[in-house]
Amino acid sequence: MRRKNLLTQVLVANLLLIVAAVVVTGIAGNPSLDLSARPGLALILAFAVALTVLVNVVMLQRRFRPLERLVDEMERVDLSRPGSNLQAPADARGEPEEVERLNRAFRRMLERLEAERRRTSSTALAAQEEERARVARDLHDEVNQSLTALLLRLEAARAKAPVELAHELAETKALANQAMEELLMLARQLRPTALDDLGLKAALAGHVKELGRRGRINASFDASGDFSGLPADVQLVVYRVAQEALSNAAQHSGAEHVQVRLVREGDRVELTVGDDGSGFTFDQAARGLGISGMRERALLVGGDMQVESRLDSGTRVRLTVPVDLVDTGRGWKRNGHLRPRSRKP
Amino acid sequence: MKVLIADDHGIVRSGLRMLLEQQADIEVVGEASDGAEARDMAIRDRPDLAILDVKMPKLTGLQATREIRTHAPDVAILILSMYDDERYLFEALKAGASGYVLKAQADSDLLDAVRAVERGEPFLTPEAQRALIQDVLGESSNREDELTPREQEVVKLVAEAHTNREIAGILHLSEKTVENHRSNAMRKLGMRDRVELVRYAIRKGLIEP
Repeated sequence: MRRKNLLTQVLVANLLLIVAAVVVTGIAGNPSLDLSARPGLALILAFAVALTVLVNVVMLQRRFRPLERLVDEMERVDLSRPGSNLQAPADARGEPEEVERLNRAFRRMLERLEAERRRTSSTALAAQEEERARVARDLHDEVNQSLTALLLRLEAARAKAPVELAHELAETKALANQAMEELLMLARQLRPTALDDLGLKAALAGHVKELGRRGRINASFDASGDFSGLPADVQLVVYRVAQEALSNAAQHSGAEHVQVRLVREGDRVELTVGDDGSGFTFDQAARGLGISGMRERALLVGGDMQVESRLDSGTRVRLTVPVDLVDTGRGWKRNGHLRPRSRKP
Repeated sequence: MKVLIADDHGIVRSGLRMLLEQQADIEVVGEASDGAEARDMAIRDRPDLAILDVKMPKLTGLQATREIRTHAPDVAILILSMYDDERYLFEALKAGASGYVLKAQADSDLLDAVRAVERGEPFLTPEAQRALIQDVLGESSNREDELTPREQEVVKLVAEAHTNREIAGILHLSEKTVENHRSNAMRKLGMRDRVELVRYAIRKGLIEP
């Protein structure tokens, strides 16, 4: 059975009450009254009932409109765009007290949700970064040392080995070499030490160069402005977003060229990654191009990320991050996680 | 040829020893598991060559190189490194190393490098030469408030939680001198406490996080 809406239910109840009132006062209270004998009176009564119902409908609809608006708003809420949800309606005045309370409670809950969500994703991302760093370190320092020892021993064995084994040993060594190169690359992707050592611009330039060297795509990089004073969390977010966008361009877009631009202008940093590939639809995006992850990261530093993509005309990712000129906060390392930063109004 | 090897990973040391001792004229005269031990052994035993891992506790391979070159200039040094990062290469050459060998290519390059050093020549892979040339041609970087090698050594040891007394022991300095280096380093870097210093040391690759 379809659920009746509140407005209809109240109207039906009111209609029944009115008819009952008319019947009780007009007929039951005056048994001698014969309406069939006085059609004029019956008409007036019917008209009065209809008018009351009509007024009722109009008034109730007006009273219920703020509630409907609130419901609409609740349905539209998008937690991945905080701040955009909290504008109070322009004509909030004159609404019944209950509606206003509901409104206020809803907004308070939304604020709490947004704060909670920021905290959770910040913790999750920081944990992810930490874990990546640990894995990278293990790969680098433990696994690769073992592989180094393996290489050295193979080389030592080669000199003593009979001739017929020489070829096999050389092949084995080549495999170990290859494994080492791959591990080193993996470690670098997991935790770009260049970011800590050389800063955002150099790290990003290195990453773009490396991508071009692997030959899948023609990658170029240019930067303008001074990036030396950027907080560590901003650098990390910009780097990760660029890394993800570049990986999408190289692996999914079929693009031949991808261009990365990094610009620092006053109190903001802008990153643009544009390719000439086949673009994507939003269905594809939903299936994991990492776009929501990029947006999450952008939010952590109060940044804003826009993705433009049309089939056959390439994709353009633009990230803008406000940089607090006073706070050079090396914050996320000090307290172990990325600090959620408030959006600039 | 007498060779000293230093790496904080035992398996790498044993691999190195195995490969080197196959050469009839090479003798591994000692193994060190950290930079300070490597420096002490090199200065005491005067091998012809010391092969040092770039990242070690107490003193990094680069720091040990500087010390050895100062106190025992006749000991040649090869740096063994996991990092194909040019900055480590430049630092190694500045510190006085004769060559820089990547661990990923140690099987093919190590003996070549040892032979080059034996002939009194430097050893650089073609990639390393290219990086060097590019650096010479490119603009020189500005490093006015860079730490002195001695200050860097102190910073590393402070970051590794050694006390001033211990640091004085390891570096053969007086406690007062250590304190001076320490406060100079802090002042140059604009830092107030050890926590910030540790972070700096990690960033600079002086210690492992």
